[in-house]
Amino acid sequence: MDYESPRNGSELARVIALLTAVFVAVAGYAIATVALPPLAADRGRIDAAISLNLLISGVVFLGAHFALILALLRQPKEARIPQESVGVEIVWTGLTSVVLIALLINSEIDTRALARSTAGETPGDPVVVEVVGQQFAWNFRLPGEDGIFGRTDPRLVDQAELNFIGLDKKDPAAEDDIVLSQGILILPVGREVRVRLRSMDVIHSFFVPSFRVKRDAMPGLAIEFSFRPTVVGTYELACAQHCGLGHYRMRGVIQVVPAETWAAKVKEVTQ
Amino acid sequence: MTSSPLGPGFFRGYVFSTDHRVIGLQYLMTSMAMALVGGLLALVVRLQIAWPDHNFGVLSKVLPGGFDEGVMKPEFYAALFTMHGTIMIFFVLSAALIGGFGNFILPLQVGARDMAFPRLNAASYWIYAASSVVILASFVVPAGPAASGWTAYPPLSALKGAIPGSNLGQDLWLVAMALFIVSFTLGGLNFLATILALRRPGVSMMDLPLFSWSMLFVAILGLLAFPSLTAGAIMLLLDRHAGTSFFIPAGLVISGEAIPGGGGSPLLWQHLFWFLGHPEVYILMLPSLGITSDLFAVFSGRPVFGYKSMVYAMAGISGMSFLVWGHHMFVSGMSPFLGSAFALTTTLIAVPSGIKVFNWIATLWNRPLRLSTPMLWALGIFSLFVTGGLSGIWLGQTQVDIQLHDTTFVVGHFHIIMAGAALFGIFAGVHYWFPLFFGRRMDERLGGAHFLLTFVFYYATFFPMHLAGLQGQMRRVYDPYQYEYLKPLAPLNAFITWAAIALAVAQILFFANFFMSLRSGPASGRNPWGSASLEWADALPEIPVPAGDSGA
Repeated sequence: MDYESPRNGSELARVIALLTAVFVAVAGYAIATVALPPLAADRGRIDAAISLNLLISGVVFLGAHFALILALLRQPKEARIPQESVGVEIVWTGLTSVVLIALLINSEIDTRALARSTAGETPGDPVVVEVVGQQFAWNFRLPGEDGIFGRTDPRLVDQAELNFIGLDKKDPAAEDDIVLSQGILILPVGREVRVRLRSMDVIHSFFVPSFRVKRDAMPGLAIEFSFRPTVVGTYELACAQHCGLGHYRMRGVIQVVPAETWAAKVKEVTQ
Repeated sequence: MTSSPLGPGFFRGYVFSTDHRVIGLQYLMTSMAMALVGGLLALVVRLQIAWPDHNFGVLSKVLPGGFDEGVMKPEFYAALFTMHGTIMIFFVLSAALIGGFGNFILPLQVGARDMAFPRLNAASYWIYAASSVVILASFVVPAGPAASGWTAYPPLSALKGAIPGSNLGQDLWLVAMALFIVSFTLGGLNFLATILALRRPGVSMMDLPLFSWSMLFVAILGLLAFPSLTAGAIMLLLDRHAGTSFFIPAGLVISGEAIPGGGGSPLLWQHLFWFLGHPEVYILMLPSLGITSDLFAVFSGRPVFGYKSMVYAMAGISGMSFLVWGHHMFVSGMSPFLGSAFALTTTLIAVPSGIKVFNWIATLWNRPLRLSTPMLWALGIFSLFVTGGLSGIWLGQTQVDIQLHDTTFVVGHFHIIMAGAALFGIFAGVHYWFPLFFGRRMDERLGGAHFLLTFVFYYATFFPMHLAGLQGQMRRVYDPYQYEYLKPLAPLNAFITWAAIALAVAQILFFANFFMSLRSGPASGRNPWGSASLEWADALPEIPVPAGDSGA
């Protein structure tokens, strides 16, 4: 070679070791202090999975960087090329595969459990609610006594009349539909909520960080999913999919109230 | 070899040249200019996220269209992140790694005199240049550039009333993408033909450096994946102008007005887009992985550990990259059964990635290492590949993705693994091959300082984004503090912005080093790093190559 490198390995190893240590201290402190938003629905499995991943990632991150620091420190004078070993490579590949497949199985179990309805476990289950995204607001509708949503027609949309979803008031099933005011959803605590999610215009995404719930509102589809709020309180609903210039202010509020007072509360706000 | 620097020989020698080395440098220089644009866009995005109520007085004078009395317009913000992503992914990273290094280095590494089709190669560059002009031109059209994100999801990108950028700007975006794909296709065919047919006698495939292998896989990925976006772009243009509705379902209402047409599906676009989009991520990754492997071998003075398994790992990653696109759509309303299948493929793509990490450590193990600047960048890629790979495993699990999808966790993840590894690969390659490009060496001290600052501020910028994402901060949001639960994140977001500014300032060292070394760097000699790879073997004729000796 024409010239020598100006740096040596142990010096750089110390720099990387220092950087890794600082990084682990700062990141560790940050992760310990900035948890997810407080959990308020029956979806603690997601939190558990995140903790599990954090643990595994932390170990692998440290292991890989530790190995790098060691490789930089170990600089023998005599040039020796270690033997290649297919066996070691197979063991390593097998090990990573086992960890990954375990995570995958865990993910599959969780995903199925989260998708499973728990309706019927408490009286009055489930609460069915239609959520309709539009630029840039959320509309909420309950089917009323009959349990059937009235017909909607995009041609009947009338902003001035506050008929944002184009509800056909001539449809008998629509008579008892309860349309909540835009942006405020009221739910009873402890009961399964079954959401029927639609969009009027572009793609939105129904994201309630405290509930660990996120689903895209896909134009042309009605997407159903369920969750069960577990803590009384007020929670923010965000749009998570870029939906236009007002995406950032497509905010909604979800009030979770005691189950006994829910019906009265809904009646109160719709009158 | 021309008497006048601006005579006819200048244009044939430097501008409309069919010499692979000139074309490679053209790609590299153009992509560096585009990187300045894309980087500045990102800084303006960061300013807005950190200080959304701020009156950007000076900035609003420079970019009057994007501000209203000093306050940024939300539609301008959307245009900024859209154009940042588009320019960086296609016009900077793809262009520099594949157009730049690929064109210059690949023929030399396989021992060919030039690319298989030199004229096609020149056409590839000039179509790329044209597409760059088209994408830049969209900044000055009425209603501004495309603003539907680099993913251009319809109906937002299909309906003119959905967002201001969904007018002429979106058309130019689609045309620029179509041109870029044509350019990439010509380049990819050329790479494939060169590797398979023009290897010097005696050079077998298993003799090739891993960078050459990465170019082979990149060419295959591009040729098989890009057509799906070509189809998508044409369909979207038809939806926008010819009254079709491939992506528009019935019954949409935009600002109180019913949209005619219907029967289409916005999900169809997502499938078409990500069928390209995910292989594209690996198109950006593979060259860097190849460069890292080759540099580890050169600077530890031994062949790469497990060369064959490295080739198979790259082949595995390339093949599987076609089967993972659905992980971008876990919460999109796609069938959950499909979600399970894509979680399987996504998680398993980490297996060949793990093999690479293991072999890298084994290559460095027990060796006297020379830590020249290119080697520092390769070590940086090692770190980013591990960190970004781990967060990728998080996002590949469907239940974890529910909480993290479309948050800044994803932004942090792909900047560390895809953008970071690709960017560091460009720096590694420029420092390593600079002697081959210009016959001079870059400055080691400036190079070391630039690496250290970039490495530290890269992590400082993108790691905290994971934390914000865990707390539920959405990406692409003009003002996060509309939400009560995001208000405590203001200091974190300001920190990220300061780190991003420092990261940008540190790049001055690179440009200073690049241009100073170009003028007055020490002569490098033919093979300054002591590499056994073929690109360093022969004395190269001066650029421009004298007429009649171009091999064309």
